[in-house]
Amino acid sequence: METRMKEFRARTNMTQAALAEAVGVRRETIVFLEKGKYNPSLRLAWQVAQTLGTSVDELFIFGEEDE
Amino acid sequence: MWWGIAFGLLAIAAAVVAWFISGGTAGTQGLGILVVLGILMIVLTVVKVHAGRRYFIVMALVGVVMVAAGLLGIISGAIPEEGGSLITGGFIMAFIGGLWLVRSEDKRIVDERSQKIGSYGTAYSWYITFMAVILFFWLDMLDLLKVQVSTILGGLMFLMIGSALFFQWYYNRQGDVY
Repeated sequence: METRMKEFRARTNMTQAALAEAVGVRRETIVFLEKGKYNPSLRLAWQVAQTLGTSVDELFIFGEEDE
Repeated sequence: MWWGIAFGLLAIAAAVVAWFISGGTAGTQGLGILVVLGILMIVLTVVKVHAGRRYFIVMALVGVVMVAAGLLGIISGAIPEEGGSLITGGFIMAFIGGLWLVRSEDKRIVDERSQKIGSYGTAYSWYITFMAVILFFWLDMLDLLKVQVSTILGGLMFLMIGSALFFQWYYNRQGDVY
């Protein structure tokens, strides 16, 4: 899974810690999300997308290998 | 939260009822362990739910007091049998409380990822322990190994806790459970 979280986070001038606090998760969860190493629940994906002012399908890109 | 407190109270009640039914002759060590387990369960549940710094300080302090009380009880001969349970329970409480106190603020947050990794780590440790139980069963059945029951139980206890911690550490490094 690829994400554009870093890009959208930079646009909103948010730090990883600030984003983590806004969605109520650990900072390391945001780190692994940005690396594409953690598959979030739909709820968390939606919360992150909302906080970064975008949509889930714009933020997370699922490849064929993720299916 | 209420389940943890209910089970803790149940453990204490079971110890008291067993003591009364036996007319005050039930093994004091076993009853002591049940009471300490009950107190541990209640304290751990409250700490887990509130997860505030002061709860960990209280928890660690209660643990230290329990260890001190157990040591005093054994030395003075007032509670020679229950003292061991008090020391064990107190040590666990002081250890967990202290561990959480030195943890970073970030690590104290319980989120969906930490819950998932925690659950999988515990589940895998259960499988490992179950395999060990089967192994010991057959080793004993086939007379290949003669070990005391208390040694095996102690080993299984450490295997369960150790493997759970290992799996949780491993998946935490991986980022997710695959």
